[in-house]
Amino acid sequence: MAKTSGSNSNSKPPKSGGLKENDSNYKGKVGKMESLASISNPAVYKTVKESISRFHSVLGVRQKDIKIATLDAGVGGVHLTANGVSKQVVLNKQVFNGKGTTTQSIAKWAEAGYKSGHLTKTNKPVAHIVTHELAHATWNSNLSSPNAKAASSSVNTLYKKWKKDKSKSGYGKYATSNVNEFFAEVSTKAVHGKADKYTKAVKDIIQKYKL
Amino acid sequence: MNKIVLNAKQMAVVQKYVDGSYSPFFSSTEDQEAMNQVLDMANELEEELDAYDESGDDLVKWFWKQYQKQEQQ
Repeated sequence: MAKTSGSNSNSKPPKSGGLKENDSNYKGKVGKMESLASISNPAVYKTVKESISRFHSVLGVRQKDIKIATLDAGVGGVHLTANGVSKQVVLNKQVFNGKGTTTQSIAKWAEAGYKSGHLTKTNKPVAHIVTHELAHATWNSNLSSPNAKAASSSVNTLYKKWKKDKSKSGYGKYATSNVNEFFAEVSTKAVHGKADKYTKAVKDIIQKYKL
Repeated sequence: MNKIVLNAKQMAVVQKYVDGSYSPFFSSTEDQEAMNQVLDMANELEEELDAYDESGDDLVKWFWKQYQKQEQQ
């Protein structure tokens, strides 16, 4: 298990993080669930709570069950799925409540991704990580609820159109990797980045299918 | 179609991705850059072959299959 990620510049990065492609089927260990109120750094707690509030207000969806727990091998966060339905979002305690964790130490992970062109740039790097996880829980291709399945066709069509579009801007390359990462990164851009036709389309899909 | 050439680093990050252990947030800069290079190659190939339908919902896995097919030939 990786030591606290993002604790300080000398700490080792977690082995993995963010939402894995097959994350909704996460079978790793989930430690004791704790309330977000257990986050000891007030600034980190405030930033996480604000990230969740903004996600709710901009996208009009409510992921209510958000906890913190120790996850396998430094995963940044996961969403847990039961019977094809998003059940819970769990942020990794090591990332968000490790020894010496600060907003700056968390932010540096996303900022490195901005610098490399890997991640979709926002001005809220900590919120980016939280929002990305919430977006995966809102929709991913593994969900089997009727609304999620109905939305899949629209999301896949949008993903294809977006990949063909050479004029799009502001996106990190990782958003290209698969439809789930595309949805999470476009949603994150919708909440914390510059709006465009794709962020609008994702918001419309979320609204249309009541995700 | 040009031959797909992947170096050891690029193959390693794709393998991590396929295994589900690749992280967009917590990978090293070197890994992120290698994945960016893979994604550029995958995008180019997808466009060249007009394989937007064939690649489906996962560009990296599609590209990796193309590479494996090529290596088997």
